[in-house]
Amino acid sequence: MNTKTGNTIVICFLMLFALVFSRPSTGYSKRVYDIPLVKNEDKKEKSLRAFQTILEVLKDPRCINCHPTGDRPRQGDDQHLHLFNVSRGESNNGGPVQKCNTCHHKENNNYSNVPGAPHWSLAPKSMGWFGLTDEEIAKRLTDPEQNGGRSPEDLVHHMKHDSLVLWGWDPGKGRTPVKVSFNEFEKALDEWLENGAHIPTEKADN
Amino acid sequence: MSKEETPEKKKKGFSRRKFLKNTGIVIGGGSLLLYFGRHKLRTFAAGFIADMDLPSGVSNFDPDFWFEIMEDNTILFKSPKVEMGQGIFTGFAMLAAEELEVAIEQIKVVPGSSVNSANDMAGTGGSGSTHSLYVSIREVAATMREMLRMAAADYWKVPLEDIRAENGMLLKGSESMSYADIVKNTEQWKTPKTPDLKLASSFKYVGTERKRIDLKPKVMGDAIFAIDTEIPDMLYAVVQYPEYIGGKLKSVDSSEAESTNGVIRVIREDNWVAVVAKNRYAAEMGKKALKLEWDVEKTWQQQDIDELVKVGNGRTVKLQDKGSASSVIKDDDIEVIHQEYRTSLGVHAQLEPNGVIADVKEDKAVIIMGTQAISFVKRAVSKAINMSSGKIEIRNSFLGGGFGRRYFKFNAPEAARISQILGKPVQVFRDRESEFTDGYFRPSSHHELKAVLNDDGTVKAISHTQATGDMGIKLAAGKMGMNIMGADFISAGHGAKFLYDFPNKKAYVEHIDMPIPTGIWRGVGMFPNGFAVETFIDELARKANTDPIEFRLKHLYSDDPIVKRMKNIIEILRDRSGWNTPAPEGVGRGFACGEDRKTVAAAAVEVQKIDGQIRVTKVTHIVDPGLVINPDGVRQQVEGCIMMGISASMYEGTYVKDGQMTATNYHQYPMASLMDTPEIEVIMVEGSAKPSGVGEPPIAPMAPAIGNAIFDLTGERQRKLPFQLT
Amino acid sequence: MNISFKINGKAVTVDTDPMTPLLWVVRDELSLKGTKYGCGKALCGACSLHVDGELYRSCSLPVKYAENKNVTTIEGLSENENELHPVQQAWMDINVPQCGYCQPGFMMAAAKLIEEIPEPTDQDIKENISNICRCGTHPRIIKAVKKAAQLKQSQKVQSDE
Repeated sequence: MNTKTGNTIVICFLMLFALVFSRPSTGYSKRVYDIPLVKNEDKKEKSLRAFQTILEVLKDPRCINCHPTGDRPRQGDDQHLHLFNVSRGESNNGGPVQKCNTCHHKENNNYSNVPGAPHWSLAPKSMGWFGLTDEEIAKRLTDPEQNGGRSPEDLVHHMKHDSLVLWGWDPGKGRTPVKVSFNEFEKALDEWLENGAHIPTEKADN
Repeated sequence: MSKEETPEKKKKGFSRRKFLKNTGIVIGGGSLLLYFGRHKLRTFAAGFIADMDLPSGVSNFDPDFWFEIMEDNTILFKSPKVEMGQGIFTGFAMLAAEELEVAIEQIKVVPGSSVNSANDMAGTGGSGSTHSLYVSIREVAATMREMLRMAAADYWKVPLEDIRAENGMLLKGSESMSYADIVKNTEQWKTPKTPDLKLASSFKYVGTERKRIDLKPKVMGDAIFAIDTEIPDMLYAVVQYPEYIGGKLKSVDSSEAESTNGVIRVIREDNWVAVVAKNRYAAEMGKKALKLEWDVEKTWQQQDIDELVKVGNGRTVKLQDKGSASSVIKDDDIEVIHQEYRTSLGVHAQLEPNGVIADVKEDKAVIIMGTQAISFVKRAVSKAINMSSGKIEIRNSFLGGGFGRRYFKFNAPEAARISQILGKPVQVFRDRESEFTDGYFRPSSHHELKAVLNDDGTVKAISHTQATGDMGIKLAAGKMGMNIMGADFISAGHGAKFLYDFPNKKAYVEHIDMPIPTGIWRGVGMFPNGFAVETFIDELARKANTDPIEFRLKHLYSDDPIVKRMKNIIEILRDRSGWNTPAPEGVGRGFACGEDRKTVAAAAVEVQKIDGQIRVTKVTHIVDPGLVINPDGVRQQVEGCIMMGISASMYEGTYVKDGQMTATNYHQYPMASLMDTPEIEVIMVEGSAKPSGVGEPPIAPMAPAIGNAIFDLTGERQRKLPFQLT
Repeated sequence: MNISFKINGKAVTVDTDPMTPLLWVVRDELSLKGTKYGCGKALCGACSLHVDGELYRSCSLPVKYAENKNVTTIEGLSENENELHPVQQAWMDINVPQCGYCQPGFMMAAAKLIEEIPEPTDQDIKENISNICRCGTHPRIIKAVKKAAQLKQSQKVQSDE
């Protein structure tokens, strides 16, 4: 084989790959999916690709910071543990003394610059994603046992309309909004659902 | 240790006391100026010659204070020193009650204002309030008691010996009248010679545990801080100061600010912009809407600051040179042990921001605030509004924390100017961002330490050079003083010298002109110097294979009274803290000590790793401040120094990035919280019959003791503050 | 806009921008100065107060959220001067404050804590009160919260008897 041509092919392939999959990094190591790049994608592939976009949103600091797998939420683009030793508490809305509502209310506060949205609280522990792999997040997200009995349709509706989810695109002064645009997110949700709501699974599970 | 039983020496000139008649009798102590009134510069010069042995950063003071007997027989004490948490009102009340023969509860201490009292050039700081007024307060109190007795003797027409003063009452046999009664019945007052003061052995209050006299109002929420004062028709303003180091205001777009609901006016002056509004919320929202541009000559970065604040870059002053350290320590000698230490810029972070209520009228200005230095405020306001200082009254309040932050950059001149322009009273308090970015800072510092050990592991020669920014010398001595002295050895030099009996020792301070305003922070030079010197001593002890406490004791043997007191507290601490028992698994132990303003302090610290984080778990602290007026007051100060020491060494630092300070509010300036509270034991020793300071000296051993304990636990030497913990 | 609520048991109505932080309404409209401004960002806790028994940092609580509710500030914590709230009594007994500026906020947090955790350990107190104090009253605050809890328990026992 001509070495030079081989190299060129590899480079082209990588460029194509990069174009399709490049998204702003959230600091997570990106998993590369073994999806063949052919012209006639089948529905599953479309759905899976759309899910990648959804994952980018889920893993954005604006979203995942309050989806801890443990009891302590995070803050900021650097995702440090939330100050003041904030913890989940019994109802996902803070400890017995200092609750989420001690500081956070229904809207962003332009005076204190404390962010806010309706029902500001932590996601339940079963919906904790922080530190999980894409496959693990995908499984938790779609498993009715863990997601509060939601069907894929319910999930899509929730992610399109829930005010706390929407806050991610209007997080207040000094905070970076979710890096995937809301339009793109909506489109991805539709594509994901229309094409069968497929999720990535660990190789071993295939 | 036993207290000496010598009567206090009387001060000259006390008979020139002023007498004033107000509501009841008022006795003033204006003559104190005569015995403390050396000219500032001469004081410094004298100290310079006397081996820099100055008691505090600012050693010139001429405080006035008044006692006033009220109709309900309480005694109003207008204090020249302000209460900022250090408990000085309680200590003063105890001292006064001692000679006035009243119950402490009968004395009401209020901060003096610049017209009725408190012409105190030194301000409140330098851990010097108790020490500097220990004799004077009692002398004035005793004089007043004698005047009351003399008046009572005249009233009852009996010899003076027949009159006793007890519990605020004057007694003749079975007859009695209150102090207030005699005041009502007296026209002509006789002046006694300054009476002999009580001997320490007959003190009734001094040395007893007293709760703070400001406890109840502070618990009920009705203690009045400056920010709590209201005057009719008061407007609210917030000031935007330069947003960049060295920034010069270039342009102001205030259209959005002016259209903010509630905003009345935007004022641009010199290098700041004020948003005036009908309430504080509107003023702050208006300020957020300002669009300002700044000319910035140089965009400073932390690296620039680190390169600037470095030994070799500053003007040097020699603080100590004993023996021949220079000839023993040769830079190219492999025997020389050499280490460098650094400390970061620090913020005071006191909870009440600086601020002022100003009411400037045509021919009178009233400034209400919480300040550590009334006289400086007066001078600054006089200049800002072009009004003679005689027409300006500064009223002090409780301070929501001081720590040195309230000596300058108090924003009184701006407030006075705003009120003058508006023709209305105005409340101008800093927001927290302004407090963090445009206050002044504890300067960063760089230290070089070198030593040569003898074969037996003792120190043959040692040297310390500290490079740092201004810590208050400009304030104390002005530019002229600075030129005379070259470096800020008075404030920055605290703790730079070696107390230990090393045969050859020298210490220098280098003054660096920093582009950021810097100044006094609890302990002034003691905090960074104590860290560098006592960490280095620990390193030497390890090198000499000697226990760190034994190593120190080996080098404390002379008859110097401070050396003896230091040795004493170290021995007590070693035994009480369990130093010589084996440390449990997972516990690191560290020790350090320090002397500041004749108070000696030492701490034994334990650290542990808890949930992956190193925490201070136990502190045994010992302090010898000489005579203790109020043990619980001293204990509070020591606890405060322990917590502030933990906070500053483990967490605190602000840095320069792209011409701005990185910390803009508490979330960017981590501090100790309840989570960081260790088990604490405070031990007090009275090694002298006179009180020395307790506000700052107890912080001296904290940073190095913690750093030394971390080394003991992890093997990683901490040579930077805050500690670099992984 | 007129907003009505009860503060320390007294009904009040204020005419103000509904987004005004309750802190400034309480301090400057209602002249209750015990609630302090410290940071303006809900970071320090100096402005802590209760609304319907829950703890809030009032610099970050728009006044509209207090509408028709019961606000309690440090001035209203005790029934009266002679019958102090257990927290205030404990603060007196332990001689807690230094400068005193942050203490009202700490006491309001402590009052909520002993409601929720009747027998708090040191760890409970450390984990559940995140206010900032600069003077270093932390060790006394921990002692005082435990003391307050004991006082509250003994009051309860007395009233049950």
